Amino acid sequence: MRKREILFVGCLDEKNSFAEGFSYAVDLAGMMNENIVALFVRKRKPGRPAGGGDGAPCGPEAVDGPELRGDGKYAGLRKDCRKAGIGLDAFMWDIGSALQMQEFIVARPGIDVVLLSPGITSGRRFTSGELNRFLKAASRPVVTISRQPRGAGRRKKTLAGWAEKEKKREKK
Amino acid sequence: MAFRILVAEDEEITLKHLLYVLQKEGYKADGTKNGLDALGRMEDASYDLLIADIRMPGLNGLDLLARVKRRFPETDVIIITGFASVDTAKEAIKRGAFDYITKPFDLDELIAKVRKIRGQSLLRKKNVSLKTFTGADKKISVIAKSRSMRKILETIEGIKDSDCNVLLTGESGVGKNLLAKIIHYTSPRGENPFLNINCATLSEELLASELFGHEKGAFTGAIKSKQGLVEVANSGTLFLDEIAEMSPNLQAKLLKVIEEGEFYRVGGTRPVNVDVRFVASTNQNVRRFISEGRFREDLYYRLNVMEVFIPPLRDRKDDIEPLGRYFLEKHLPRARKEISGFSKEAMKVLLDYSFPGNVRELENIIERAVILEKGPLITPESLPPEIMMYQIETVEPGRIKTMEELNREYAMKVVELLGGNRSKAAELLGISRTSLWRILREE
Repeated sequence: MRKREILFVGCLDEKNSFAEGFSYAVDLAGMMNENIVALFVRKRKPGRPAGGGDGAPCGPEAVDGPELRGDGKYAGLRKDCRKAGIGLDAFMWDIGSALQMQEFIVARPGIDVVLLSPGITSGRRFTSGELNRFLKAASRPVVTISRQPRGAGRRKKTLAGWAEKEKKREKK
Repeated sequence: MAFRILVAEDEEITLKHLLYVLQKEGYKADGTKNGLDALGRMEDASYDLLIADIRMPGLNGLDLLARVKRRFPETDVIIITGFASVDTAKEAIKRGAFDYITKPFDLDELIAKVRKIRGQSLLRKKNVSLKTFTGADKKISVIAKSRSMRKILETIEGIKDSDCNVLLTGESGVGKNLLAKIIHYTSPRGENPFLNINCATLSEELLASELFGHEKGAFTGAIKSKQGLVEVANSGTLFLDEIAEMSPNLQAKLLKVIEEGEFYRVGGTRPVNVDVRFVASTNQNVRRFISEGRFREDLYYRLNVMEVFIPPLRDRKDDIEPLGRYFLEKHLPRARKEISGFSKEAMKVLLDYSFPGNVRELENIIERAVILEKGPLITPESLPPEIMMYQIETVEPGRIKTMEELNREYAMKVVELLGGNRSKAAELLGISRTSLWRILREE
């Protein structure tokens, strides 16, 4: 029996943001009884040919490959999934634009939902225009995971506090 | 206000025992040994629940049930019977009993049922539509406070006498399976089989064999002939989950069954005639699939006699609180904990979250929170940390919110926060009252 899949899109190029938000993907997959397909993207540098020019393939490359096989962090992800009883297929891809992620979704019809890690939505890898174009083209619901903006809690508190103060003033 | 229960039971020991247990649980429970007296008491004071024995002097349990349901439709009734028979139970449910228990009864089971009724009664009081449909095997409850869900239930109610095929669309976890069951059990086919199959989880060959069956020797391993689900579901309903994932070959075969009520088993030479109603579901954009040539247009129109779109949970926030309470009541008995509800902060976290996994995810979150929570209320600490650590937004396929929509959403949030005071909201937002009115008018 094939399970449905959650596509988790993360980054490869920044060590700190590698698979950030992955624990959320594992949680969601567990709740939905689905597997995870992790796609680690790396933005192709301008001028670098589509195929990488150094023998790298054009399309997504399954990550049992050399780049991540021995990587401790990747092994950690696999362990997390195994512990939760969730299947994990991982791919790496040098992509020119965020829009190419839609090609991956089309190629895997079992994908139910796409999760974009904070590393992807931070705006450092893809411009917001690029991401918006992908969101428009995506054929599956896309979940954006972003870090809570600093001070957001405080802003909310201020608003709520303001409302509270107003109510009290009215009562008086 | 305390939940009031009246127990009508002629055996004194059982009555005393029941009253003791219910009062210990914190309910306000009264008792009587006579059916007529029970009716009188119901008239004197309002009770939320009546637990009545079948055999009683004065008025038997079933007659008491019928009268109570006529005069006090809001009161739920549990029937106790020492003469367990399916017929008595069926009769009781038919006359409007919520449930029945058989003697000797398990007190934990009774308490669990009372808790469930209490939860549902609270929802009703909060003007939440909770519909319970009785199926062949179990009761199916749907909670709908939002306008969109109420409308869906009305639509389903409207087609209950029809035999048309139905296509249910909506994201994963919104409850398509549940609605399919309701469509079946409320239809004239309700007494007949309801079968379901997920078309996405099986390979083409296996799905063909599961759907249409096979003859002995049709392929390696087919050591005996087998009926397919289409055949077994004869005179009932077949629910095809994730229909968009079905291969073009099978789509053609299915179309023939729908059009002619006839098919061949895999490897078979004789046609098999069936009368099956099809309910299909998908979370994909079928029109897109049709334009890409991946789904047959004729099959789509055959299945889509009636299309019901179930909106994602993030678009019907009104349902989050009642659903949360419902799941809390559902999972409490197993956890054996005393949790009475949600803290304001926890509910706010849930209301702010976009639930990509929809109702299924909400249920899991609540189930886990019930296990983790140590206090009398669900607090944010027992909710998954990720949903607070990150800002999680879901964007529907091909759709991005426009600035106007975002403005409207934000303005509505501020107005709501200020208890509907638009002047204050306009002041806070730094716009005139007219501008605010204009933004909100776009709804």
